[in-house]
Amino acid sequence: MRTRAGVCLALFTSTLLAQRAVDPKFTYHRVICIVPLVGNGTAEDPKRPKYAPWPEVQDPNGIIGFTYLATDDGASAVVEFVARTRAALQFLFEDQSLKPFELGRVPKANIESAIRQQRKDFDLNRFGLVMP
Amino acid sequence: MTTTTLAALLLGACTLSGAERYFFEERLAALDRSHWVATGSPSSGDVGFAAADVEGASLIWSQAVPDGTFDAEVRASIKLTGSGGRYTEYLRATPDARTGGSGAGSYLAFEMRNPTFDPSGACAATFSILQRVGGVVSVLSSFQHGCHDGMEMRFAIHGNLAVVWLDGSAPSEFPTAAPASGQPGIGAAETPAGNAVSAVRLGLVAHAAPAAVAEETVGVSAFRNRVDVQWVPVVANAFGGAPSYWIYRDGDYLLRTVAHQFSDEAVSPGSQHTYTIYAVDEDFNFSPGTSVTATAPVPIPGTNAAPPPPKPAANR
Repeated sequence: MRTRAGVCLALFTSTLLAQRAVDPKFTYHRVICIVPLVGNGTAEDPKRPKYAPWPEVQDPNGIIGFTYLATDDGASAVVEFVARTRAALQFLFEDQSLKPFELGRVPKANIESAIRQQRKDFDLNRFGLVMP
Repeated sequence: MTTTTLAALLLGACTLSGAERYFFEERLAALDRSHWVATGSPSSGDVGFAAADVEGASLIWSQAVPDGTFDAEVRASIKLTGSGGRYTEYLRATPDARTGGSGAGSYLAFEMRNPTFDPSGACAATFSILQRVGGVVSVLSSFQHGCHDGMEMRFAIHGNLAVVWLDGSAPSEFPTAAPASGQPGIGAAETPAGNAVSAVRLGLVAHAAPAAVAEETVGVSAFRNRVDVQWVPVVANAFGGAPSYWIYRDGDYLLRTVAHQFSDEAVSPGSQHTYTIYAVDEDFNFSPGTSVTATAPVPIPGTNAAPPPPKPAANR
């Protein structure tokens, strides 16, 4: 049965090749890092990761999305920043207080190992912003 | 079994087999407030529910979700004729929930903020997941996206997982520590004239896992630098809608697709990979995984490593 299905599959190769698309978790440029949580928790100044654009700015050349999980002590955020260009995230690499990881360039195991020091259950398989 | 219990079971069965996700629908140009708890100063005009002031207004559903859970979906249509305003969907909200002004109550919220039309007519907005618990407001996630008149925002919660959709886009999921209970609702603030939440639907969330992809239907073709996999799709859940499929390679997330096939082009000759396929329905119920293993062939020494040239097309 599997062989027959495989033969059939080969016939659809051209169809498959036409359907290549980047998974929505891997679109754009993405950096994961641990940053302090800032904000006093009011509606005007909500809790959010440092560097998260707030109040909102619709700058297509800046950070276009972020999502985060709190660290185990609740003081910091494991955050993923998304931008259309790598240059828009360059400032993260220039902040000497951070250890940013660029998705697609750093092995998954390295990212998880580093983040789990502050968020024990961190699982890169289950983390990340799906850009609609 | 008591009569009441039997009736409850029958009601539940009817709900699930009825395949009707939405238990309430209202066009807000003719708002019936009997279903809602209103806060702030909402207006309901020709175009729908709006609130012009910065404090905003909200409508929180006043009745229990029919399946007895606090999981639900809010699906709202937004009338956008000009720039500005905030348009909010609430889940697990207290009756006084409101994101506008200094905020109030407890909630998990999905909000379109400041939609802005440029001179060409293109619209962009910021969409944010907000939470207010114990008086503390947090921005859990935020992203930029296009917007347009008549766009549809969907927001659902299933356990501790929030899911959003914009129009027909792929869903985006967010783990949350949302309040354990509360009601769905909608809100608006600083809306310019002509903009409004024009319609809302409230829906149930299915909790049954879809069937696993049948292993005997999975076909695998391994090439030197590519592995192709396809399978027979599984059936939709009680509310319909084709499931998507999440693929893991050697235990690591690889991709998600609405097709029932994929190609992995990140393989090298001689490498072996195990692919696990999960069917994931619209309510983020995961099937058990179905795994297949493929080994990319190694070129035979002495043979031409390049693939044969294509055969000329036959004359027609």
